[in-house]
Amino acid sequence: MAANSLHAANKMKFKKSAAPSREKTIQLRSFLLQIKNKSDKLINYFLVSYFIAGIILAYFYDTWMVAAGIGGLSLIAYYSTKWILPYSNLYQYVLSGVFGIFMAQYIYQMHGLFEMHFVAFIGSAILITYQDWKLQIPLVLIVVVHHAVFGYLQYMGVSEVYFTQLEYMDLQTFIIHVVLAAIIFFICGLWAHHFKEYSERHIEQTFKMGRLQEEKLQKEVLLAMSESLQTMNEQLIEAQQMAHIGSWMWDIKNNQVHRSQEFYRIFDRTPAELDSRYESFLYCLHPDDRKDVEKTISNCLNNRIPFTFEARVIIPGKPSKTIFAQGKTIEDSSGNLTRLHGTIQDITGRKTYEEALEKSNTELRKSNQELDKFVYSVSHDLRAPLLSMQGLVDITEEETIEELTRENMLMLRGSIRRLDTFIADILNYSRNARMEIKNVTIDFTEVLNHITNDLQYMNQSSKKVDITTSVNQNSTFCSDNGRLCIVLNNLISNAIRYHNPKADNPFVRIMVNSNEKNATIEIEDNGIGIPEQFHQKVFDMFYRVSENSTGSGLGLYIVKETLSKLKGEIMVDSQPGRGTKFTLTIPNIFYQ
Amino acid sequence: MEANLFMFDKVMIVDDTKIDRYVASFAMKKNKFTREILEFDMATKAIAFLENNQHLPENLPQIIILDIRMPEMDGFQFLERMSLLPQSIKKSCCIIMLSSSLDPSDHNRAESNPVVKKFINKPLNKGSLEEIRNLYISSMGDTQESRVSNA
Repeated sequence: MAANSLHAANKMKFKKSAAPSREKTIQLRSFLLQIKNKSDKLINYFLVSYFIAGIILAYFYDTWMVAAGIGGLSLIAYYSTKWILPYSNLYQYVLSGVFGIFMAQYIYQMHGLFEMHFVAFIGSAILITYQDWKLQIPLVLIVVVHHAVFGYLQYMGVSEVYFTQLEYMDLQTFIIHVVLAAIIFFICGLWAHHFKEYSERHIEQTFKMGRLQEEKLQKEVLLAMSESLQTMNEQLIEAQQMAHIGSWMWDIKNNQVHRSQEFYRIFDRTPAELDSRYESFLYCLHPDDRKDVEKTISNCLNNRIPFTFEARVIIPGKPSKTIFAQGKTIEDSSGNLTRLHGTIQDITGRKTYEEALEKSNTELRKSNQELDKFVYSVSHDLRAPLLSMQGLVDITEEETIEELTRENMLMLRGSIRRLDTFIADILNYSRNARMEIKNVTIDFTEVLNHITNDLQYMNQSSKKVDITTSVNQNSTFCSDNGRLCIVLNNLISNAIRYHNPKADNPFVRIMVNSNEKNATIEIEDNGIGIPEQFHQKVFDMFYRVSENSTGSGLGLYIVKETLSKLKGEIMVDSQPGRGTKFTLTIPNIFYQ
Repeated sequence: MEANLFMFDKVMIVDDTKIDRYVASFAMKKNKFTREILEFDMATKAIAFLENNQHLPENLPQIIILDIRMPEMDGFQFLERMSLLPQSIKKSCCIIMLSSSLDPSDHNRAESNPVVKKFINKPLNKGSLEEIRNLYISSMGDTQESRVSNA
């Protein structure tokens, strides 16, 4: 990239210096045009002044016709030429002639007043403004012709011809007159020429200076460019070093692979050890990976699609490295495959880390499974004698008619149930904390049937609690079934346990409304209710509303903890003596 | 015709816990569930009994109530050993698993085994006995001439 930019910059420089003369000519022309326009403007005033001067002179010898006629014709000649041929400088020659005519006109008007001859010099001086010595020629010609013709005619004594009023106008005087006039015309021509040369030189100098400045600027830009390129290159090398990414570019036709510094560093080889052929790169790879890499790259070349692969690099005398490579094809302007370029990244560290992570994950999973087994074994061993006791209580209760024994058995059964629930709670708590979320599609009707069936055993008190469920599920719902069961089981068994014995028809109403976004579950009862001041506390660990409550104080804590794993929410609305309503919102994982 | 009063002729119970066997036997006797109860405190002994009587169908139980967690040979190992016995035994015996385990993997394992008809939680009581009876009628009723029909 650096070479390309420099090359382009050089080209630019050559292009600039290729046509300096043309540019100079253009600049000179535009300068002369400026002078011409400025002079033309001035000429307008001069010509008008000439004409007016002619009118004034007409007072002396009543030469009105001459003043208006010859002056007018002169103006017409000048302006018409200028109008017809605006791009030619013919009108300037006409102007020069017009100045000669005006001189002749004034001399005539003033009946040969000698001072009128000076008018020719005024014209000659004015013409310097155009910086063109040739403009003096028409003026000189007219002056010469006029002097020769009129001087001769007057000398011959022709009347009505006025050339001079001087009586001593002899040949000697005439010669002096001619020489002086010639000198003036010559000087004016010379000045015009000098001015022109001076302008040209000035322009050339300005142009030269401009070019020098431009070159200097160009040099500065080039320097800045190459400096920033150098900085960029250094930054690139540094970035590659830090990211452990090396870059490469393979010129397929010449089988030349250009590789960055970091590429060689990753391969732990010098450019001499790893030559620029593509095959030598393949040779560095682990033999088991070589075939796959070759296949991947040839697939990339054939189908012109980007590729990625992971491979091991063999480094003599050192542990091998793992690289991650990616690349793509480059086509020239006519669509031919010319190059392949891309990067390689040293992912040895990441790979080792991934493997270590995988190993520790496996270990963790194993210890989790062991812990799971342990928890179940403990819970089983705790429950087994408890359930034996319950069996004995069942028998004793059935066999005796003695009131006291029956009452005692009832209390014993209550205690057993309480301990059993506690064990189940602890089991659920430990499962919720450890188990991974396992999302499955959920049929709420089925789930609720299962739970209410299981809870029938505790729903056998003197007053049976009426359990009704209504499910409105019109889309697939996904969540963790095990956790959902824990939550619902806890809430529904609570509703049964804390029913109001004084109520006529104790009930639990479960309503499920599930849509694509979430499921809203309402569990409502007309049980004993919870005083408002405890609403916030019921979800706390080991919190029990009253000493009479038979729960462990874990149930609602587990509900809340489990729900938080499901990213759900719970709200409680309850009044003592009226009943309790729990409202759950559980997000639908299926549509997320 | 005392036999006609019982739902079943023979029920085998395999459980290492004496109290649980006692409770189960009591409930069965009380509810006239079976004429004879075959009690085994070890699964190995129960398997030995089945093996010895495999050619004597009149000695085999219609129902086997099987605990899961037992020393030496547990309920699942018992099932594996039983699968090696002739088809006739497996067909005539209805196996019910009875446990205090809350481990869902136990439940799944038991219910996925084709010879296990039901997983029942301890303790065995009148309700669960009724459940077993209904299950037996519905599953065995069509294929086998049941002695229950006499009752």
